[in-house]
Amino acid sequence: MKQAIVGAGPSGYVTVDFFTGDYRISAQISVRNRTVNDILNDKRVSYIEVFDAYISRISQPGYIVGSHHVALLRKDSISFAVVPMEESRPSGQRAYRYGGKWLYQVFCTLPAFEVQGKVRTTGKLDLYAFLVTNVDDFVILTEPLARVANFPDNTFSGESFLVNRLLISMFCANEQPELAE
Amino acid sequence: MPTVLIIDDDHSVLKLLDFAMSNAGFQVVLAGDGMSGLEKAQASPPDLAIVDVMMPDLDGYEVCRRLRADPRTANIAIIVLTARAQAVDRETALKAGADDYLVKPVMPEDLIRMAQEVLARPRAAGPVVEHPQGRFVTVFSLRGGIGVTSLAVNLAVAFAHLRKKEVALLDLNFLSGHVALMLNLKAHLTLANLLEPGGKADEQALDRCLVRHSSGVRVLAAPPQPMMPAPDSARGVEHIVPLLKGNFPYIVTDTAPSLDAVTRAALTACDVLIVVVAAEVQALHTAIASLPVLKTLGHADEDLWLVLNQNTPQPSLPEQMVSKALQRPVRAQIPYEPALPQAIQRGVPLILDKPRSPMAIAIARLAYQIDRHFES
Repeated sequence: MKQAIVGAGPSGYVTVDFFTGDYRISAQISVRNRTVNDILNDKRVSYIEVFDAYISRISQPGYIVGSHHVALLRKDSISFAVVPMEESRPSGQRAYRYGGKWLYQVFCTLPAFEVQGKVRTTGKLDLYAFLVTNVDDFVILTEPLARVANFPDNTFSGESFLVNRLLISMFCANEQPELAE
Repeated sequence: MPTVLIIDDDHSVLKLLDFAMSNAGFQVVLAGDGMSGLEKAQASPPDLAIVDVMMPDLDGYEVCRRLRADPRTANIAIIVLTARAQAVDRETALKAGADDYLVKPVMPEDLIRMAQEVLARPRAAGPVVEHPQGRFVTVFSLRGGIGVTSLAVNLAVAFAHLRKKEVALLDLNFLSGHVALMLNLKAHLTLANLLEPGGKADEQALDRCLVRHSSGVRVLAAPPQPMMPAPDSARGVEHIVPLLKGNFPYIVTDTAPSLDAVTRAALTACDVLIVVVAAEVQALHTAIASLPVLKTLGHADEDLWLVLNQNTPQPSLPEQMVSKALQRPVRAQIPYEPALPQAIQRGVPLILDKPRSPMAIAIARLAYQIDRHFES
């Protein structure tokens, strides 16, 4: 079997781009048998331990201003995280909550960012349920694109985003969903 | 046997790359951090360096910069291999001097293919020679909607990458210019402001109007609303050409599908005129009709480049027929790329969005051909 060159340290580590209002932090997190979604939505822990963190300012996201072997991130300050698709979904018994065949195009504003993407639902998207009564703090956006409000040329994309709904100041959705493949 | 220096602080990656590259016939040298990688490269310059970005002390971008700055290592091929996967990371890597960029996780065969491809690219014998005067390349077709703007935008990005310098891109389409849109740029000052009657189109004014794109392209955008050019606009274009030539190694111009005075000024002033033709009957007919007019502009035959753009999945005319009908060789063919509309929609040049796509490779090759043409 061919093995992909992953380069994220020992197995069980995933490289994630975290975005706060001012910084981009590219770091590795230990997921073991869980996913990044599980870790960010684990309400028992308010921080996340990361390894090999490389920090860039949002105004110059390609320029690395510092690196540290180990760091702690406060979950409530993370605007969104760029993660591989398989890491964006919850694992185990929580997995059933993320099905659905409808995709709604959504747009939201976060501190320093404008984010667009798609939300998958089983039925009609209930904005209130999604944004206010949702159990999970970090919600999944697929086909995402984030734009820095003050530097609109700086955009970020990825397979999926985990967006901190508690930091969303405005959340909009298209009325007509599309059928997911 | 080509030598490859692999610089990565992750020992598991070093082991895997050592195994994969050795099996592919490379002589492998390993370095566990940026500083020791630089020392090894300077002691015995390899043919290729594969450099990780996220390394403590000296990150991969700085390694690339130092390799390029040192005459002993300035011409080695460099591939950046990193888990940072944003478009800005690719741009940063290319600006730092990398030849190409791969995102982890990567399959070994993809890396080997890229290594072979990068090594096959012609390399300068010494440090990059700067043009004392910039080269003016105009992209034109009298038939609209066949990919002229898309080619001009991607060609400008390719020149910026090739020369590792800023390149100017002019949108001379007063009625429907889309260069800024394709680069997702907002221009507060445009060509119309620069050329307005009574205005002073000097270097400072020009600099204010040129919008910087992260790829290294400086854009002089067309006005956002359709408008007729001011009466002296053609003279204004003739006036700014030498200013641009003095500041940029390349000036690429996107033109309107017309023969108005502004377009004619760009067609006349250019050093290479790229005539775009699509593999369809109407475009061919238009090209046949316009070539005699273009020949009257005084360009030598070798400065008039015919480029066949396959803008549909199944072209209706083969290249030989196009070449025969126009009685001149097709200098480059740009293959069809299904991802192009999405790239345009997102305002990212295809050459950055899908650099490995056949279309991006063909445009990069065209930029290289033109560069060699000027050098010779």
